[in-house]
Amino acid sequence: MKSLRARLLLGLLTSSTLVLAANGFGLYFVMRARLEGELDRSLVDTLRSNAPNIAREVLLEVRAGRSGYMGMSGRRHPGGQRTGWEDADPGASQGGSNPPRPTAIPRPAERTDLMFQALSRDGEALLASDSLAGASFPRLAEDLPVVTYDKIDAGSLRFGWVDLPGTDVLGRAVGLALQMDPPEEMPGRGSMRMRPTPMRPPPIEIIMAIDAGGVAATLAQLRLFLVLGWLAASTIGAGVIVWLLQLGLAPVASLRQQIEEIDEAGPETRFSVPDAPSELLPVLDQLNALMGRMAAGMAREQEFAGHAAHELRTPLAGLRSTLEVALSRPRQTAEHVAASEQCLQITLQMQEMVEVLLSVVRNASPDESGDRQDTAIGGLLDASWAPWEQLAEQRRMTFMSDCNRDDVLRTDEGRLRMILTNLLGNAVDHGDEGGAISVALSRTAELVTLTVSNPAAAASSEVADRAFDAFWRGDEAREGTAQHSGLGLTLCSRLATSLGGELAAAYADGSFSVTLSLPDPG
Amino acid sequence: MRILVVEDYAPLRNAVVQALREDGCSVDEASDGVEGSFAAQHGNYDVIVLDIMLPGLDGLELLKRLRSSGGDSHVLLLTARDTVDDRVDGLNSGADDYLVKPFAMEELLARVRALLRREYTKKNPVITVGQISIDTSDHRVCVGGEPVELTAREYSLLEYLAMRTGEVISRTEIWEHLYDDRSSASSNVVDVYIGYLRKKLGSTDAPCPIHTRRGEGYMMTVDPP
Repeated sequence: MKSLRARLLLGLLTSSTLVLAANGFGLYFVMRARLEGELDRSLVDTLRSNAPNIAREVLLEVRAGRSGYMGMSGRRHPGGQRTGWEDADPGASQGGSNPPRPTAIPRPAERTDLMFQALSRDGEALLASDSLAGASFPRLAEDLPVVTYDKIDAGSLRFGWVDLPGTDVLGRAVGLALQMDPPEEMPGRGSMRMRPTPMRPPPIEIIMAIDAGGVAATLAQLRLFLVLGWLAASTIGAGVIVWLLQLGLAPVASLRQQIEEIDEAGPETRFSVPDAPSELLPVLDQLNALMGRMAAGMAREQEFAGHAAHELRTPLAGLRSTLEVALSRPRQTAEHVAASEQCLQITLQMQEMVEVLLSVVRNASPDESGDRQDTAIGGLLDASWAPWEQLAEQRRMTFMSDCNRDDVLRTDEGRLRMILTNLLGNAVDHGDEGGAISVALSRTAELVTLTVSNPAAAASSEVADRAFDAFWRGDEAREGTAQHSGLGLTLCSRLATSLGGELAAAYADGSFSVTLSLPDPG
Repeated sequence: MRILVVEDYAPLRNAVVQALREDGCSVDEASDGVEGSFAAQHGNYDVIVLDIMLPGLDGLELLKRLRSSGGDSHVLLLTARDTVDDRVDGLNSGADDYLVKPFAMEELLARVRALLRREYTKKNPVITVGQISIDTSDHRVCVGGEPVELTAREYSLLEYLAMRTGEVISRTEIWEHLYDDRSSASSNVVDVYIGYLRKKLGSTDAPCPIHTRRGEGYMMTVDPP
């Protein structure tokens, strides 16, 4: 995803939605825990208050044989042990750890407000409230710890959700494994004859449930409220985020619009964004600087193209005029041949000029080809001087150089040769007759400097200042050849730049010098 | 007509000079500003065709010097620069016309002719003297409506005399407008060509309107002095 707006929108929407959802879930679970806690406390209270009665009724039921429990008929359990139910006194549960003797009437099983079930530890049903209508609860745990009444605590209870029999209502249930103490001696009954010590009755498991429909409904309402709230908050949040993003990205949008509206006069455009954020200011600065450089570059190119067109107009005019004059009336063959030769000569001159123009354009780009090699400067100077040696001799000019044979520079030899050939050619063409052309080499840690000097009485500081202007000629001369097109030093300057260096011209005390500085990679 | 062409680019200069000569003009040429300036100030040229970018002395500077020294030759500037500023600069420097390279030779010749007419205050390209009519645009000469064939030199002489109808023109002046600096012809050649014209343009009924003023020169007029 490339759009900053889309990225931010997606990230913010996702995170805000998730945060809202997490809050909703957290709130829901806290509320649910509280409600369940309330319900469980109520359930435990009910259980504690009814557990003795239930235990007693279980004992009575067993004694009465109404219970299906194995021990109710006095049969022994496998292993030869008595079940204890045989001797348990349903009324003897006073004192010790037993709960107070139940006095509640009617019996728990007959109460319609209670839903419970008593099981043996083996899971055999001993007693169930009438409200269960013969149904049963699932056991909440197999490993309930057996406790006496006074040891009932949170650790001895197991809670769970059950379906209330015969209804669609959810119930909250608690399970308890209760050990009743042996019944105590009944007053006035045991002094006449010895009675066997009452045995501790076996523990029973009581599962008691209450209607949790209200809590479930409350929780359902809470869920609905939270979901709706989440949806509403997410929607509103999304709207706010979109608005804020639009507001925050408005400077970027403004900048984009300005960039879109750039036309042919683009490089003259400068960008400005009111109330631009600090993050955007450096971008604006760099962009405006870039536009400035582009404007300068385009102006240079336009000027160069204009100059080139103007320079080509003169030979073109010569070509056209020669042909028009030749064709203006019947002529001898010799006249046509002369005109054709003249046209060919002009065409060759124009071709030469076009080649130079192309060189200027092609060599304007930095030398990124990596075509650099160790170049012996002395040898290259000799090679660059060779084309001018004869002309220099005619003009009685001498050439001297302080370069050693072992002076080496790692650079593009071809481009350096073009520069040196051009500089030496200019010195021969425009230097004073009989003068000395000298080349001086100096090196620093990072630069190699070559200076070509020659006496030139006709030169001036203006010549030095404008030496690298395209198509500028010191004397405005146009001799119809590319060598005097006013492009030579322009080409050299661009070549030097492409090599990472620069070219500078100076005039002092009748001497004209051009200095080439190139980086020395060492 | 006498014309000076100052242009440093030899092929163009040669073509312009040849075209003007073949059009019947006597043409001198200069290849740089210094030489051109000297010629312009010392020669009596009807029109100067002047390039702006010249070695030695800039064309505009040459023009300024010419005007400041009183030279009133009509000047046609030739240049590769065609912006309004360039044209304005050229005209403000004292030029009479401006032609951008490359140009059609016919246009250059037409502009030169226009400048020549302006030189002699002739707005109509057809000059009529008596029964003789001279169409300067295509060099056609008719006598009483009948075309007459003239050589280039004869036409130049006739056109020059017709341009200055009613004026007495010396032989030297005529010679200077018929021949350029490279010519070695003597001034007597003027008399010879005057004779040719009189034969071709005159008849028993209507004598040629070119009259001789002894000791002064020649004059073309329908009313003999």
